[in-house]
Amino acid sequence: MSEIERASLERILPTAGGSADWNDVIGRARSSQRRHRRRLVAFAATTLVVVVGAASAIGGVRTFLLDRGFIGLPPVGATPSAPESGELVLRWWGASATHRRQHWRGGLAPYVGAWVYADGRMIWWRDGQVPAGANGLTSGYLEQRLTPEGLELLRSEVVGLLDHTRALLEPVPADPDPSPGPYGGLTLFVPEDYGSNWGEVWVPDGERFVRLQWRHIDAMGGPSFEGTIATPKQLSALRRVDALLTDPTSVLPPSAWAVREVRAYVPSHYAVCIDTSPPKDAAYLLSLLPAQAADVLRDESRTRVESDVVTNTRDDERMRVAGRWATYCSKLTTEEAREVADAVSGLERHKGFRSYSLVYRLAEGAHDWEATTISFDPYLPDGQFMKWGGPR
Amino acid sequence: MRLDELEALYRSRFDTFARVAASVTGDSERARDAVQEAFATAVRKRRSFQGSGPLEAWVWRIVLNAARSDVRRNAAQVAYDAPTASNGHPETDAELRAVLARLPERQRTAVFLRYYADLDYASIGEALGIRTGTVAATLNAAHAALRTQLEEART
Repeated sequence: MSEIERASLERILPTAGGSADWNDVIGRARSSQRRHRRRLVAFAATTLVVVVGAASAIGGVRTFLLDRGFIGLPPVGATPSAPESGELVLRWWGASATHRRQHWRGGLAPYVGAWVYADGRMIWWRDGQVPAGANGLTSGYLEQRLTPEGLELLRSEVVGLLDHTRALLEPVPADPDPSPGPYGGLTLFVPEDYGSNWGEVWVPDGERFVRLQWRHIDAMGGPSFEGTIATPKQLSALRRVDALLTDPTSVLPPSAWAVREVRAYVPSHYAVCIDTSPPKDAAYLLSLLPAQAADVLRDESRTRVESDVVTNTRDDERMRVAGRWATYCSKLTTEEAREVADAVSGLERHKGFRSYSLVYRLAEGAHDWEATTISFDPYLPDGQFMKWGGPR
Repeated sequence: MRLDELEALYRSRFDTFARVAASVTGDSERARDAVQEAFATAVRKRRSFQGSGPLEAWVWRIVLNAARSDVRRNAAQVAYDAPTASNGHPETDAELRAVLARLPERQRTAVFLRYYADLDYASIGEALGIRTGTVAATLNAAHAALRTQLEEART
């Protein structure tokens, strides 16, 4: 375009007000880091006595381990799970027949998420009353640790059991949908009295993961799923896989455990996500936040995912696309996430998820699904996170 | 991301960052300060750079945010309408400056990023925190406004 030439812009832009000075940049970065550390030290001071007291009481151990799950950010000074990253070897996500209780959700099985890593860590959460749980509705993320032999015992048994359903195992997509589906694809259909109406389990298959998913037999013939009805042998194998991955403390021998005691999983990073419908620019969403929170998030890299809002908006209760939804997520260190969480702590918590995750409402919309929210969910060692504490 | 990559970007593009930042702050000294602060932030947060886009686009976003923060703190007005010293194009430059000054800040910055800093649409989107499609629409709107207003100024 002729009216915009670089030479013209060069002439009209103000000249730089001084020369480049990289040493000044480094000096500013260091002094900013020192200020940041001073703030953290001041914030941690209130808990220092507790930490020191706890450490003294257990013979000078310098770690601060939590023996109960928690929702949101961990107490200041809690020792993060180590190592920071880990290679996933097994994953479970779904309703657990093992933990089904008649009084729970009208006899439905509680949801369980479980992740097993090559370093022996088993990280899990479970809905319902759980010893060492965060509250009466959910456990929060908890951690135990298997010995190398215990890990191999668990891995080989799960892989062996899934051989009974080999024809239904499908590669996990490179970017799996973090929502509970429906995924579509090959499915094992389970009868009504099985005890679990949905779920999936991942096992490694060479360089990739394959998964088995199951659904209640009612989903058979629907548009999303194709597959086969479970044989008695397949049901028995699935029941054992369920027990191994959702209740390993009861099923595996004591020798399988390096740390059998249940502790809270303390992450090193949090996914801080802003959800909004209809989609809006990040700059506008940041303007809804208190300045301190916006300042932290403004300079962070963020991902943006847009999807349909599917809901039953009319009397016939048929699900329809009601609009579009955008989610912006940034990966923050726990302390950065705490800075943001502290800044937004005066906002209203999202009532529906209060017991499961730290979610605040930033703005209301004309419909419930149009509320704008900010949430804080822990990153797992393999880089996954489950928004709003997982599906409910 | 390594520190020396940031340093190389700073040394090779300091002038461009500082001059575009000045278009936001309206003051060269404060623009330089914003660039220095922005690079200090980038140094501190470099581990959070995930490499999903170019490093330069990520830094541009930090620089522009620092410049905008400066404007909010100082309530500065960007003064484009005063003609500069004669440079062989005083009249057309004064017109362009006046027309640019009337553009919304996002459109004006998009113009500078595209035609002065030579960023592609994806990088401009990253720098401004908008989608690539919105960059095209923003630049189209800027072009249309510039064309109309320059024609009006010249008739």
